[in-house]
Amino acid sequence: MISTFGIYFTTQWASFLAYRVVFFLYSMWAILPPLIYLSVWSTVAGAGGIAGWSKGEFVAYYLTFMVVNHLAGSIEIHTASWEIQQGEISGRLLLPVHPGIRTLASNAGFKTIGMVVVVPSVLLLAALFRPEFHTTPGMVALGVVATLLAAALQFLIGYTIALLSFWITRADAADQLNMVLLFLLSGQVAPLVLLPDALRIAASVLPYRSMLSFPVELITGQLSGTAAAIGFALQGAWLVVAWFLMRFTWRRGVRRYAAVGG
Amino acid sequence: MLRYLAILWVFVKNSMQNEAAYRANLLTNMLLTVVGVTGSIAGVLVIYSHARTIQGWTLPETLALLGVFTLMNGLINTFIAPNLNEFAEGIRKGTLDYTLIKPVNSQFLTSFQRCSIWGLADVLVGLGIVGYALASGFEQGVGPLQVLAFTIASASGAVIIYSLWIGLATIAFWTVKIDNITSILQAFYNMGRFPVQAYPLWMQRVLTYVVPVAFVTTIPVQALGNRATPLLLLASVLMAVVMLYASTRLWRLGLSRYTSASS
Repeated sequence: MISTFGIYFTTQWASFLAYRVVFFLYSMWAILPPLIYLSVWSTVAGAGGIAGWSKGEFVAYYLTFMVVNHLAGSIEIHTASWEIQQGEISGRLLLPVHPGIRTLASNAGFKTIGMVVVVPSVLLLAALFRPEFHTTPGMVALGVVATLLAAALQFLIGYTIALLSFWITRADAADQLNMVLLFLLSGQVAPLVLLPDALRIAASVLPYRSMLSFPVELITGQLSGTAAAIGFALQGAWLVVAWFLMRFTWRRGVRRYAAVGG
Repeated sequence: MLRYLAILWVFVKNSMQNEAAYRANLLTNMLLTVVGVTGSIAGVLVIYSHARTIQGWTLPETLALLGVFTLMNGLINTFIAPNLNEFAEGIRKGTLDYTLIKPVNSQFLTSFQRCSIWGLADVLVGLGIVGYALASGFEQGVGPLQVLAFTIASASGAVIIYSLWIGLATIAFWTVKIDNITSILQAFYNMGRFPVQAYPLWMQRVLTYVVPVAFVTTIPVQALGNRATPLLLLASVLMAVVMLYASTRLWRLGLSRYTSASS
């Protein structure tokens, strides 16, 4: 299974490299939307800060957010969903490998290639905006682990949404709905602590904090030890739920699949 | 000119007939518009719950700006986006031939032949937001003169965003695979959700001269609030003319490279 993943990863990587400009451009999607809110919040914070946050702290938060956003983001609506709609999945279903492995490999390949753009862009923005980090190496290390878990969670959820293409032609509508919630509840429009209570509670009850905001909060050193432990527990719980949801959707979907085109 | 308007009307009618066949789809799109706009408004409200103004822009002003943003977005989604996605495919597969052999300007056909009318829902919702913003304590004294200035600035803005979009899509003649290059422009265009003054100075310059989003949303709302000088309006119109001209030049240049793949 690992070696299959390795082979898929290499081939996906090669095909992405053939169209590298496009994939470099795609990775700007992880950077540009948060850049809007980075700018607006640091303008609003000005010299004196706002709601207990200084300008530099907003910058540190959003720069971290950009990297985590790229590493954890889901692209399955563009890969897996497309395969099902076009019937390309037919051939892959015959292979003795779960087609999801290939989907996962394109996800990982895209993210690796994208880092070539994301890292320099974020460093450039750091030079322009001057972040102010108050964190410890331990918290950053925990944040890296949480980022991986967030990536796994977003992959499972994104893949499940893409699998809806087995039933409906407009799985992208479900994806867009998910995106709006992600925008509001994952810490993009504002760090979660600055949201009104109703939205903040929704962010914690739903998986959205675990999908993006939690690793960012860890890396920027906002969380105490207990809060970090609770966050990991929530991430773990959501991962289990998302795994079973994905398995269930997959089994039902494949059974229903009627091979459009081919 | 009249002939082109007539052709455009045929495309719109055609699209209506097409969409009428997929009513559930139409409903889904309306729902998405509502959800998307609610999300955007919530975002603006979150920021204003901590700040009274953003560089002098009050809440009603920023809401009006969001209205203009939504309106323009609707126009993009109606006319430009569906066409350009198809255009990139046309280059890859060689089906652009069918566009080129028609006795109508190829840039016009590529830009408008496949419009998708559900984007018009965004236009209506956008106008609704502008109306609400005007009713909820926008500047004093919005008279016919301001509405005229707003119309001129918005029309220029629409031409600018169109030129930018088609200009970027023309790159497909060189790079072939751009299926979603439009989505990158969309990412930049999204910066127009806030007045350019909300961004640091260097970004204001980028948003004015490189990706001139400032002309699309900020300046129309300034015109409506009587804060745009005649010179700024003139600059806006000039920018529109120059960019439209540049886009047609680039289109011709790109077209000369088209070799019609495998058809």
